[in-house]
Amino acid sequence: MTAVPELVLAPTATRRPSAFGTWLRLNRDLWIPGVLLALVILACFLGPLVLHVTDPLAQDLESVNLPLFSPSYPLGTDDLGRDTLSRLLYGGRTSIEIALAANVLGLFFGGVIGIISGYRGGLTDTLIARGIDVLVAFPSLVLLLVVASYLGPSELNVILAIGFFSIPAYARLARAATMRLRGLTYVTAAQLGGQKDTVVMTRHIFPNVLPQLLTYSILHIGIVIVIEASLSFLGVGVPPPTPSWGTMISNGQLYLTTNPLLLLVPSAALVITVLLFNTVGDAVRERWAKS
Amino acid sequence: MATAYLNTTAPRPNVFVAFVRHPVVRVIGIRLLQAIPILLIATFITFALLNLLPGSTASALLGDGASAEQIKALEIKLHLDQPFWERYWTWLTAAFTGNLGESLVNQQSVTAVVLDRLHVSLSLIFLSITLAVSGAIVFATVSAKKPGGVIDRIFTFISSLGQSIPTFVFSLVMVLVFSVTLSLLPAIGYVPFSDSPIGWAQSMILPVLSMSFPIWAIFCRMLRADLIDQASSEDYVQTARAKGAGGWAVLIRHILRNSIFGLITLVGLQMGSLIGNTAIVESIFGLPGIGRELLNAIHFKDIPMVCGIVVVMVIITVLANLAVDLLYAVLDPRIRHDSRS
Amino acid sequence: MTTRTTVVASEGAPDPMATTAPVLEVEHLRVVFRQGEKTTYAVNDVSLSVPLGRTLAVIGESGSGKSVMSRALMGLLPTTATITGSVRLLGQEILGLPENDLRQRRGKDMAMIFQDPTRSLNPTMKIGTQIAENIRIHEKDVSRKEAIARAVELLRVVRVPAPDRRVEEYPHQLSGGMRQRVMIAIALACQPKLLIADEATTALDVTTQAQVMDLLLDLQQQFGMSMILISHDMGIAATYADDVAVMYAGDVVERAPVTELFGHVRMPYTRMLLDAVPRLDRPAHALIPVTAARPPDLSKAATSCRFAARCPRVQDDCLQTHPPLEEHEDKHAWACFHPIPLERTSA
Repeated sequence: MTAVPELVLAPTATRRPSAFGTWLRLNRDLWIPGVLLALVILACFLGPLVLHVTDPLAQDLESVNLPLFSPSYPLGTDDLGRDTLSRLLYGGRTSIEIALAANVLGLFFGGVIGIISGYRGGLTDTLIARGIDVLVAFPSLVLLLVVASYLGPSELNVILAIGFFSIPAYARLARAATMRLRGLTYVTAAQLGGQKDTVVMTRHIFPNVLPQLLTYSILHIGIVIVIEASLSFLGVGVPPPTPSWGTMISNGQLYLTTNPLLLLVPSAALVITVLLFNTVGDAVRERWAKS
Repeated sequence: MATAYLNTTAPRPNVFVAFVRHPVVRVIGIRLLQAIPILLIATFITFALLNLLPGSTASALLGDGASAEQIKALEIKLHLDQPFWERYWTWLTAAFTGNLGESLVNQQSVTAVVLDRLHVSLSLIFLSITLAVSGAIVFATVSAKKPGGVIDRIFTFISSLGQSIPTFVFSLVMVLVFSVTLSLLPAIGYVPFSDSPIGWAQSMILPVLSMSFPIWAIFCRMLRADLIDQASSEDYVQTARAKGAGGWAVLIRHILRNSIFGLITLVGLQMGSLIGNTAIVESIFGLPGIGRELLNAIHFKDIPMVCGIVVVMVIITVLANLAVDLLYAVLDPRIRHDSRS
Repeated sequence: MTTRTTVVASEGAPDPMATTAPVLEVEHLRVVFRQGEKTTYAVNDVSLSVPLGRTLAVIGESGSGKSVMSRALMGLLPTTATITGSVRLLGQEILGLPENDLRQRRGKDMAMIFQDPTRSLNPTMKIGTQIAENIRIHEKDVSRKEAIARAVELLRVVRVPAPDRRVEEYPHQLSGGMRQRVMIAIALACQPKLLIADEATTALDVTTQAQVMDLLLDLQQQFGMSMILISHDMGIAATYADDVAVMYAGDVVERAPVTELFGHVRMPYTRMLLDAVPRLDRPAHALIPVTAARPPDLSKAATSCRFAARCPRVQDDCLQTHPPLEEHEDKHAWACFHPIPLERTSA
């Protein structure tokens, strides 16, 4: 992995379509899911402001379990007469916020541990690498469940717990990338130039490891959203009445026979969002692998 | 080369030495020895996580109305008054003799409860892996026969869907479709195999499908990518084609044979999340396994039970990875027949 | 295969009368790779013919298209390649045959050995099985046991010691030279009429190289095969070939019987290749004459001589027209407007 990005050559003059047109045609796998994903995120964060949806917590006991496309409730209402669309948008916001925060935690601590481990080598590295190996193969969902329930359900605790369990994956990636960089000439040059280890790691290694970690983080956001929803579904994640896709699905489970919409609508939102994150993440990673 | 070959006719060392020196035995021995520190680290991490978390466990257990004496009594019972290292040592030595403690809720032996329920979880895991692996082999091979073709695109879409759908969502959709709408299979409940094999099968179909779909998706994508990669880059593939072998023969007889090793490694890596998913699947489908028991124990803050089950789950993960390594050693001729070493 | 009976009378022994009909005839073979926006003209207008029992060496540096050409003959190129022209094997056109018909000739009428024997054998399969596979693909009535017995026999033919034990072993248990012998045994399994050896000895050390080449030559006589040796090594061509074709940037630039070619080099590129070989009759530490220039651009069809940028004899017309390969003298063809005059090369 070199630091210098490949220069994109200008298209040959004879071709009719513009450079942008060619780019669009060649990068369909990236920009189509990318735009859709941006729409989902925008909808969750700006939607409630623009669409004038009802308060997600407001109960309207006279209009309980309304079907799709009801007047003033486009996605219907739940068993307590709460607006499903509003809860869906606010729930998405919760999920994405938690996913981003947990990722930042995991990326930072995992990155630091991985870079130090890969750069130092020796016994430190052996111990950290072994520890990472054990943790990566760990039944982390089980431990998360236990930890989250001990900490008590709250958004912050979910972030801390998931963030902690994201560290090994990032650390493993950062360690591998650092070990590749360590052998490169410019790192050796910096070392021979008398740079302190901390300077080499922050100035030379970190900026080159970061893009890889960020690429992975797109995929990891999908994973975190699934974990967060699973925890909320099991009642140890985001505490009610705060809307979250996991709790909405958990609630929908109770009305599986009478009103399957309460299950299907948040499920669809969850699956589509994760699918988009995964697709964009794969497309970005593929571009990395090629260069 | 020739001299090395002649050496085998020299007087043989005794049977025991030959056995110990056999490459497969060596690999198994090394892996078994490596599993011991891994198990120690794993149990330590688990124990530390469960015991070093903030908050007084005893007061949380007894609720706000508890008196100081009650809290004190419970702390002594749980050895919470001892320093952490001492507690870990006491727990570890007891666990080594098979004693994982007593449930706080009903005073049952944790070991007994775990042993009573383990077979349900293990059969769920085993069946799910078998289904996922065999399904992945079939789908990935068909996909890799014509990359970019219609079948490949459909399969790729299904597998990316499988990677994006959480187990609990897929389980609930399965229940909705097969139990609620079609009334084909029971939504909940477990029938022991000894009572009725058919009933047992019916109660296991949906849980196994739910567990295996997400890991099938992961296996399928990885195997497809590896098959296509080997087909385009490996020289032995050219040799096979130069012999006149057809597309399917090259794919199945040659490439799949080599890709299977990557798949085996991946199975080991997925064991952790698979065991975690037993908690979700068992509680949705009401199967009496250790996963559901764990959720119950968490609900009742039954600390010895939680700790015991988590440790058993960790041990299963480590042992499964060990089994994967051993399978690798037995299957890969490069290890099996390593004449050097 | 009913068609082959018209050309070759019997299995094994070469028919002296058949030498008139070439085993392989290639005319105007072109290979173009198209992937996305990228086009590569890998092989341009190659015409060759290999008579029965003779050996043709195809010489060129890496990227000259010799390996692509050999894979095009075998039909082993990926679908991104467009192949045009004509390839006749034993008198029958095989270019454009459906894959299913073509693969029944691969391994049976023509076989191929590759450069790296370590990577060319399936690491997870027993050697015996890998040889037997070739037999069982083309002779459906042969049982597994018979095929393995023939594999043992073939290993004996390629002089692998203790063949009955080797069939049970895996590739990693053999040395590089032994692995290449196994590759040869696979290629010989159905007694092909044409054997293509693509840099078959490049990955081996020098002594092993000579052993494997000698073995190939012996087997060629024993089985009455024709051979194409793909190599970058002028020494191998001079020692083992009957005819030589020199390739540069996808073109055959000079073609002649071996003595004629090395005796009377006409194409400046061939001269350059020969001069690049270290020689004992030159003073020690003498500089090897190498023209520095960037490798030719294969993304466009040739409009000028591809060698012009590196050629010491370049003139204006070389930059305007692509010189065609023409037989200027008996059996000696070259693609050059300003060939080296005879008196200079006769030394």
